Amino acid sequence: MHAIVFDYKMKRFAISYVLGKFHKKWYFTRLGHMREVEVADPPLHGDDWLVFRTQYCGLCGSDFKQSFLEGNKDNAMTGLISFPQVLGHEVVGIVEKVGPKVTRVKVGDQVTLYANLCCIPRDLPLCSACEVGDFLLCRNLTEGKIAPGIHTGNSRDALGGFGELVPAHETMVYKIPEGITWQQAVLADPFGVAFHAILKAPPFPGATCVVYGCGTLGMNSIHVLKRLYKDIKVIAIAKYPHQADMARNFGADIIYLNLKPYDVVKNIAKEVGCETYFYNKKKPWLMEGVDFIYDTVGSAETMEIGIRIIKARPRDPKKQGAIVISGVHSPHRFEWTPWFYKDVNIIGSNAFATEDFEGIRQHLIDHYFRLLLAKRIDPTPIITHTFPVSEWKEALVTARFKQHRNAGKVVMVHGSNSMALASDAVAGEKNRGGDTK
Amino acid sequence: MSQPMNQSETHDDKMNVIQFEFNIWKLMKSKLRGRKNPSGYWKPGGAIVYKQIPKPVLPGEDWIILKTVYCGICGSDFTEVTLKGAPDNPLRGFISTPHTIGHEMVGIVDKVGAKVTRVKVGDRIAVYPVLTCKPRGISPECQRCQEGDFNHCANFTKGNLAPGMILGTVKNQIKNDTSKNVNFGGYAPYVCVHESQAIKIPNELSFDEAVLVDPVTVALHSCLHLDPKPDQTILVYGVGMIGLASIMILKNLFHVKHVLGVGRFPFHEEQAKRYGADHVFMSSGQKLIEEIAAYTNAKLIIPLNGLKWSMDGVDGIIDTIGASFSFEVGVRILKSKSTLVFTGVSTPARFEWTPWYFKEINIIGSNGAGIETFEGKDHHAYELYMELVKNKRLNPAALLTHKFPLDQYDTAFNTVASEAKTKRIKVAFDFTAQSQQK
Repeated sequence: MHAIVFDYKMKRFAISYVLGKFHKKWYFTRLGHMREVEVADPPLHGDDWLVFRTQYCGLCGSDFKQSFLEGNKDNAMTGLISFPQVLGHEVVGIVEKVGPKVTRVKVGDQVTLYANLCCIPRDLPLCSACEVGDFLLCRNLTEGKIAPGIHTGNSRDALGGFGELVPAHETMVYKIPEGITWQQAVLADPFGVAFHAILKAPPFPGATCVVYGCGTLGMNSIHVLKRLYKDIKVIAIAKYPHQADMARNFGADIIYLNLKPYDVVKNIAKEVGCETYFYNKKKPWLMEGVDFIYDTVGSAETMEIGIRIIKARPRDPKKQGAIVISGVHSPHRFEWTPWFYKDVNIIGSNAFATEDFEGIRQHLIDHYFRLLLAKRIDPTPIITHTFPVSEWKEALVTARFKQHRNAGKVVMVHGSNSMALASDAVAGEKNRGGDTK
Repeated sequence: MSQPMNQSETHDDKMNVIQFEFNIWKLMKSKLRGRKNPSGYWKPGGAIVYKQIPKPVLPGEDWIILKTVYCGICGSDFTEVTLKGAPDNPLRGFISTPHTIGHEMVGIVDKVGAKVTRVKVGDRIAVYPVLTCKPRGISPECQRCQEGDFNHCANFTKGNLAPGMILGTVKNQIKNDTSKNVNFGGYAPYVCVHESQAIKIPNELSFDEAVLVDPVTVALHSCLHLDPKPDQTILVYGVGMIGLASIMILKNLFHVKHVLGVGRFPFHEEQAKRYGADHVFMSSGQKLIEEIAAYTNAKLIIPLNGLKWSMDGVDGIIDTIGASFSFEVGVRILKSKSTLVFTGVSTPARFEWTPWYFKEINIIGSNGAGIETFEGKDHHAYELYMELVKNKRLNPAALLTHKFPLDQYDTAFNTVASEAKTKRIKVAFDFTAQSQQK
């Protein structure tokens, strides 16, 4: 099959770095670290595994950051992955081949992927985390029959949606229910990540929340806060005009567009009506401020501003907020005095798994489908660009440099679907007959 | 009101104090001299000044004058003395200079204003140093003060006093009568204290025990944030004053089964064990991670570059250093979904933080202590401390290792600076010993 392969070779990195300086698309040349090649079709990794044919694949921030080689050398995650990789973990497709023990789906079913490579696909006895449904915290990401990898797309054996065929354990796929579109289904992963972060520290009624960053995660966060929680004031911090427009459409109450970091602090002070403290009339910070911050950027800058604009931890446990970090940026220094001074809690958030919401405990993808079908949510307007997979370089450049093309979520579409690119094919309807292709 | 105890008043109306002066030339001078040898920081002519000022008078009718017995040298004092603060530290807006340093003081009430009701002359008191609405003469109090969240008071720059969060960071001046001689820092034999800040010391407690109230309640505040369970393994990073107090609190009050420490100097190991640590690690970085992983049976993940890490490890961390290197180890060796509380105030720097989000770790800052909920009841942290020591639930007295008269500040600061040699834990200025030196 055709696939876009990422190679971990210093020589290839160097070539990409140099060529990329001249033209962004030249990051992806024949001599570089990422190129389209013919690879062997993925095998069934076991009797309870299946292979599905990719229809749509969303570009996650981690995909395009990795593609443009934006990582730090001492990154701890490199201990959990293996190369070469076929990226892409926001995938939907049609089941093409199933092992004899697969019962959850059959050939022809339309599925969305839960990319996590925990104990279950690895055929291992459940670890302490998987036992309680915290698959994202699995202890065995380097063990078992699948090469090290956190999720599909960063294990040598779990090729992702940048290829035509994707292998998956049967527990890693969720049949797309009738009435749900491909576009909706392909957003299951980013929606899950954003929702999980909010569930780490859910806002109390009347809370003022900041959503830092207005990319896919930011938009999903605004959506969740406005649609699934009562009486929440959302302040969205956007970098580009098209993001601000989108945030408005998703219901953000207040939008800050391209403010300088310290102007964010001053504006928050005005918004919540609290005092601003300065040192030498520079670098403002607040003792009061907002209740929650959902930081979908996770950079030194957003952390430094975050701890300046969040309310000092109140004594009443029912009023205690937090900063939840769901974005991933390479680490840098930030001035952290307000963090300890205000007794602030900063919580890391990673992926999603089995979650409690409104008294129901189920996998987040099941929550997602349930909420979609109940018409309580619909994040599809996030998708702004759809490219046929043959234009993958264009897709990556669009996603990475979103300001040039006013991009939100960028999605690649494979094979025959690329002809029906613009149409809103209702995936679920095809599942009704259930017949094979 | 003349009191028989004020013998010194008869000598003269001056007293010796140690002050911090904000003057660019003096700061640069100290900074340069301190680089060669720490004692250069407090050499005469620099930013740290040993000098005479007039004895203070009562700033108002609800104030008292404390005759200082001891004043502890806090880590934050020493950060100031050695000019280690980051230039972009936002708390710089919360101090005013020149100020007399020192906030960990205990002593005897020497004079009281006409409206003082909580204490009387001759009472033994510890001082809760936070300069909240009440000492600033602000009424009604801000919301935070009403809730007992004194460290987050809205008025640290307002009212009758100059900007400052605590005694020892605020200029010796009151706004409504600038001619009055006052003193708001503990490195001095007499200090102005608002009556709301006075906490009576029970008869059962010595001054040696009482002077430790500030650092021990700081440790208590952080342990309450962590809220450990008895069957857990908790790591205390750093076994200085706050670290040892944390170990004692985790063992005595929270009954934590396994308390581990991380020490730096050889004597730390034995010392931390004496206060209840079950094991003390004496390494740092990669080696420390490996040792803790081995101790807790945690499987290590080996990245292509950088430090090893684990999804498992200890159940909670009290980080009394709060530096990039302790965070870097902390997020690597803390069990997923667990909490790291930091009390330390090191200068910010980059740390590799990916395990923080990946393991969904909570990192909570911890500042001072105010009204604390302990065993289901609300207490003022200082009163709670007195109770706990009185009832023998805490026994911190031995943590006070060195006492020096104020005029021996050079020796005192050197003792703090050369911890490896002096094995100091808490060093305090002792104002009862002063006359012997003259």
